Amino acid sequence: MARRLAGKVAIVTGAGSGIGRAASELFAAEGAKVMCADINEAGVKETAAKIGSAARARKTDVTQPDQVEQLVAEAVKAFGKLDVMYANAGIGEAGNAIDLTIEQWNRMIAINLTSVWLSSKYALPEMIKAGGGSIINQSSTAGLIGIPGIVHYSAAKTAVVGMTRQIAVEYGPKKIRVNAICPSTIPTPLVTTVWEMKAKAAGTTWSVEEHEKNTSEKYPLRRLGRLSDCANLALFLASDESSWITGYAVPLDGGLTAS
Amino acid sequence: MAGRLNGKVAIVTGAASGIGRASAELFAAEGAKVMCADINGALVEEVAAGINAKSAGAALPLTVDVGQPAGIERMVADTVKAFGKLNVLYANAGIGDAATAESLTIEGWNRMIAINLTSVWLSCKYALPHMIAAGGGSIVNQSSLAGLIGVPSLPHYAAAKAGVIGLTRQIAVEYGPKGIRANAICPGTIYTPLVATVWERRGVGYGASPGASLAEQKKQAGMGNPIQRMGEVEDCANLALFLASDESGWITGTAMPLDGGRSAG
Repeated sequence: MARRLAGKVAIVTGAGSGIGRAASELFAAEGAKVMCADINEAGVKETAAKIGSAARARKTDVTQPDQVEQLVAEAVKAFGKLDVMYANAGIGEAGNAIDLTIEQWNRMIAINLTSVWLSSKYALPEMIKAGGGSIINQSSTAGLIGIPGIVHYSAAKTAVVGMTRQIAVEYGPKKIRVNAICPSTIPTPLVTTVWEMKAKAAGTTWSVEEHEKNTSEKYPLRRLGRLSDCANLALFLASDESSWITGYAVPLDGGLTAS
Repeated sequence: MAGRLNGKVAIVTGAASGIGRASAELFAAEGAKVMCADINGALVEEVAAGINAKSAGAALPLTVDVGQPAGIERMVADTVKAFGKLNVLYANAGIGDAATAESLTIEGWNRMIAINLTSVWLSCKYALPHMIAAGGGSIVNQSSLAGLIGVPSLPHYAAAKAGVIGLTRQIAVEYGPKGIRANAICPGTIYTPLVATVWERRGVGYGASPGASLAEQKKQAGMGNPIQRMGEVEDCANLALFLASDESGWITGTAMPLDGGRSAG
């Protein structure tokens, strides 16, 4: 059976851990060449090393236009073209509308929103050259519904959905597809950072197991997400199997937003 | 590489042609046993024979009128009897019909609701107990772009297809704790034999000039979405496969647009 991304070249940002690492590994297993990017150089080198010759690692601060431009140029130089951009890099942080500082706000917008636009900005010309492509932007359940305690994160992730639709409509005629993934809680390093901050603020302790036990009731499927859930969805959206799907923000949440 | 539906048993309704046929063939190619159900018995036998020629014993044909509750109950029972269990239901069977809210008759309304909405609930009704027994399952219900946005000339179709979305969400929330997922597919215009028949009856496809070639008619029909092409049956079969497989194991209660970006703009 043919591999699902045979012959394709992909960039995955935030590939140094969690969802980005899982997606990079799956994309490569399905035949893609993968440029793995992360601000965490050790992490992204480890990801690329695990994959082998189909992957390259590049330290990238996705908030810096010149670094994102270089990332795209390096991918094209190494692998000859660009077919898939998975703009997955992001941070988590707790904050409410009153106590949040302007520095926290600006940092969140830069990392979780501006970087996603920059990823498209530099990927699109290469995809137009290649005759098409698939952009996958990481949003969140917080991009679809209100969730307490993450005001700036919600703003950034909802904006990702709006931008995804806009780019989908504008670049569809160039055969470029753009979709967003809206995951609820997947215990990645990013997510556990938020838990730690919330616990610290409340003067309590936390653990993944405890969190899953206490929160899984709200999901119709009664479990938290797994890295593989998100990597599998990203693979489907990256592949030609979804070539008539664009402009959609796919809920990945065990049924949370349906209830 | 292992098939993506290895070890699974699926029912596909409306399997004699178009999307249902493409999905039944793809599910079987990915390792599933497939009950191919359709009101057109002769055609669905051909489809099953075609599948079995490639992978012996992977398909069974069944003549079913999904407008009749007893037929749906028998469809599920026959599937479990033949293949031992039920993991996937693709409730795809349906009809198209044009009318306005003023011109539509009560007979036209009732027929549409029975075939495009009630049959979907009944398929779920009889499938659910077997999925609970199997420890989980995936239900894929066929809705439409007309279930998400207003489209002229199909009030009864739009009502039925929007109803499918509400039904799907409700089943997802209620049966999620049993490991059962339910999602709806909302396609824009896909070039199926049903659509081809409508075009032949009209003389030409939507938006095309009289005498236009089929390629030109399809091109015109696809210009209304950002990707600027019509859907093909494979587009829908690939999405149904993803939703049927364990790859989508944390996705439930969604109504997925399959429309070349039409509903995003």
